[in-house]
Amino acid sequence: MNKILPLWLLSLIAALLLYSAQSLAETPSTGWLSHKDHPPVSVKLELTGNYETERNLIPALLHVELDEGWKTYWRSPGEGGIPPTFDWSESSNIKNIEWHWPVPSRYSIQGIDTVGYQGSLTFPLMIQLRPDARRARIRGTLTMSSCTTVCVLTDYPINLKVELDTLIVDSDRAFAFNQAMGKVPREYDSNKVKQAIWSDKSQRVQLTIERDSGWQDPQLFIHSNDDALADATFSSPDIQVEGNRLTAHVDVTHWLELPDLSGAELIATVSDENFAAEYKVPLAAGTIADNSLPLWAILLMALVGGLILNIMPCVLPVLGLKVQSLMLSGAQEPRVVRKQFFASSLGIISSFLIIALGLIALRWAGGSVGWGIQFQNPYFIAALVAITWVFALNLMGAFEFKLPSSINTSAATAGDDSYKGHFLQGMLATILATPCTAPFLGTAVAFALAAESSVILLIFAALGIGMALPWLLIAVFPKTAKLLPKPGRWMQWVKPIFAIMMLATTAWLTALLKNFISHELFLALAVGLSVLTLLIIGKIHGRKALFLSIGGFLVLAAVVGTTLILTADRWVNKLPQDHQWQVLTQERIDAAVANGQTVFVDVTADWCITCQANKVGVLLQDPVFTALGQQHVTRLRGDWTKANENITQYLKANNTFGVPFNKVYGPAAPDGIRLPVVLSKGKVMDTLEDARAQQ
Amino acid sequence: MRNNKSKVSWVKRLTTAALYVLLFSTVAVVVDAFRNSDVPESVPAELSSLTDINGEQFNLREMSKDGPVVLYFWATWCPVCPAVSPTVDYAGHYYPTISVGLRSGSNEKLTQYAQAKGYEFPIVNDNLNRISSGWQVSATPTIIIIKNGDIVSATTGVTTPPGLIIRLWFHQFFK
Repeated sequence: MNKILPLWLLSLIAALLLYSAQSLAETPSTGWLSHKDHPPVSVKLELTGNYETERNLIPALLHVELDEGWKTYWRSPGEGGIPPTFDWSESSNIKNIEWHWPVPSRYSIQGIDTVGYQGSLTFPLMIQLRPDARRARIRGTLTMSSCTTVCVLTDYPINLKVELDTLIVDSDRAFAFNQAMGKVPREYDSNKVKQAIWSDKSQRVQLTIERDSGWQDPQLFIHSNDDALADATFSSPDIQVEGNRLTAHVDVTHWLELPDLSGAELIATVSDENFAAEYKVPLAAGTIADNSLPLWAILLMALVGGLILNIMPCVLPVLGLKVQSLMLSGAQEPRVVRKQFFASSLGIISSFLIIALGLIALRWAGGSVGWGIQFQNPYFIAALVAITWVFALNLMGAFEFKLPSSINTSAATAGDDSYKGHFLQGMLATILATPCTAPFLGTAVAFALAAESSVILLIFAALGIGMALPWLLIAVFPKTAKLLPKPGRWMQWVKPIFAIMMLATTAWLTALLKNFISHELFLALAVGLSVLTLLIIGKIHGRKALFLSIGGFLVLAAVVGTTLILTADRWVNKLPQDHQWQVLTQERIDAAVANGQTVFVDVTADWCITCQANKVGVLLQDPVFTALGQQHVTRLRGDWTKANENITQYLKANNTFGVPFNKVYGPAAPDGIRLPVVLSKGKVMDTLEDARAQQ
Repeated sequence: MRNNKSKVSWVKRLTTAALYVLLFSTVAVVVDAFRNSDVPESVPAELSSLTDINGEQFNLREMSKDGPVVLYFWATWCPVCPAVSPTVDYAGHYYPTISVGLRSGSNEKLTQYAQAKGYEFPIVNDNLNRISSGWQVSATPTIIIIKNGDIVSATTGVTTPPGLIIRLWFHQFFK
């Protein structure tokens, strides 16, 4: 018999010994802690097992699990909330605990903006031992805030023993720590902060920060370690990006009196795609120029825009007819005239308010909101086609039949109810105006859609009042009606002219439908509508009128056709076959710019008149047309004729809500240079050059 | 004839409206009963007497003998509370109302905060969580209605002015 133990037994003993040694030296962790009164939150504090001898640091991880809907807060929690804290005063041999904050997100509860986190998150902690300490105890109370529509502050007792001599590295935790540190913004060179101004007058901070590689979609969070600013609230910033320069405005408020911030130091956390930085920002007193348009200017623009709507071909007939009927029935009492026009004005204004409410509701429901989106809906267009067509027919006298006497009597006895008709007329005018709003109201509407609900209502009210102004004028001074030209022979031309305007609108709207229906159906609809219109003209005004109309149409077609043919060489030269365009995606932009290409982005829609004007007047004209055809130019087009989530997102990312939208990217402008809504050849050429030029 | 008809329809409308109000208040009260089952059934003896930051004494059991009393738990750090506090402040004009500020700092800070926000209700400072833990209240905002020393209603979360008024009326007149 051999006295030596068999090899397998030896290895077993060795393994057992090793195992027990390992279990003795387990890396410290509290395990998941939760409070019986507050199950939605659990926390866990654990060490990675690493030890940095130079500064006596032991890295630790504080994991937090929040059930769905619960949030906890960042170090500057916004308008409410309180950050988590760790009171470690009962610890021994601990010199300091440094808390690191991952980049937070912004949330809004009941209209109150807060900054924090949800779901599962990890705070990396750096625990510093006293010099020469070989063992320590981390003991104290961790206080976590968590809110949904209620708020809870929960205490978790923490007690961890640290024995440096038996500390073993847990590689999973070490990895998790590095991962968590990766989400913590790194301190960056504060030389990149080009400007940091505190304006005591407007209680506002203005920061300008540069980044060599430019900004994509930066987020900014402000914090201050200054005790005097502990309860100050930094508003959600208003950020503007121009190339590699970011300018942000932040309002600062305090429920007590706000101290003077000049000289105070702020910490600006900026995050962007694959980027998270922290800048130390000493504030200097100064004044902040308010270059954004003030609300009153926007309201004035809306007012004027609304007024202009009245002379658009879609609306003019409605107002014109009303005035005409007023002139013909000159005997009406001023009181009645006043009430009628006032009812119509109310109809216009309430329609605009209804549109505003609809947009607000859509936004609350999380829908993407943009002006002109109504033209992405074929049913809406079809309804408008029907309305404008019936209106045009009405102008041609198709419905001028006598009402049965019973209806007439009830209408007469209805008294004030007859103002309903005028109210509805106002609403009709507004509905008819929608096709014409896009080119004129762009600025005001874009501003409105990005603003708060109350501002949307204000701007749309201004639009409505603007459009109702001529009607209100007559309502307030019924005598102005007398200043109108006297009825006479010329009046028989008014209705047909209005009718032609209206039919043109119908034709344009019908043309929009071709994107939504099959080619055959579209042709059938167009031919059917035309024939029906002609038949009705024939029925009302006799064959003579019918032949006159057809004849007139043919003569017009002949004249236009001949003119076109005669000037053909000019037209052919000027309107070449459009280039091939690729479908717009952010990836294509990035890829092309990375390849040194210049990228021209055109977001357009068939229903957008300004877009068509840009295309015919600038994009298809030389020198722009040739420039766009060059080898180094990538042409990307986003067609917003129908709703398209990608394009809506792209527009939103560019802080705009409607078309036309054009932007040029290139090696010298990786973030793009935005072009004005109405393009000019010179501006497009310059921008193409600027984007291409190497720095 | 016509007059008669319209009278009938008015009576009908009023009855419908009254039924709706009754339905909503019943739902509100029943929901309350389930919403906060942790809260004790009556005012704990050791917590009946409260002293606010100005040193004024309140006895919840005594006060609630005459009618419903509102006890409101809130905090300066709670982002939802500013949406509810004005409602409680308003109720304070008509019903005895006492508030408990949870872990919100010193008396001085609470005074300044209430002054800045215009709250007029008395505030009891519960910076160490003693009162709220006695009441088993961990979440803010929480509104408790006390009558004859009993807790008749407890709501945590957002309460609208009509919601609170209906509860108070219900407990004043129907119970």
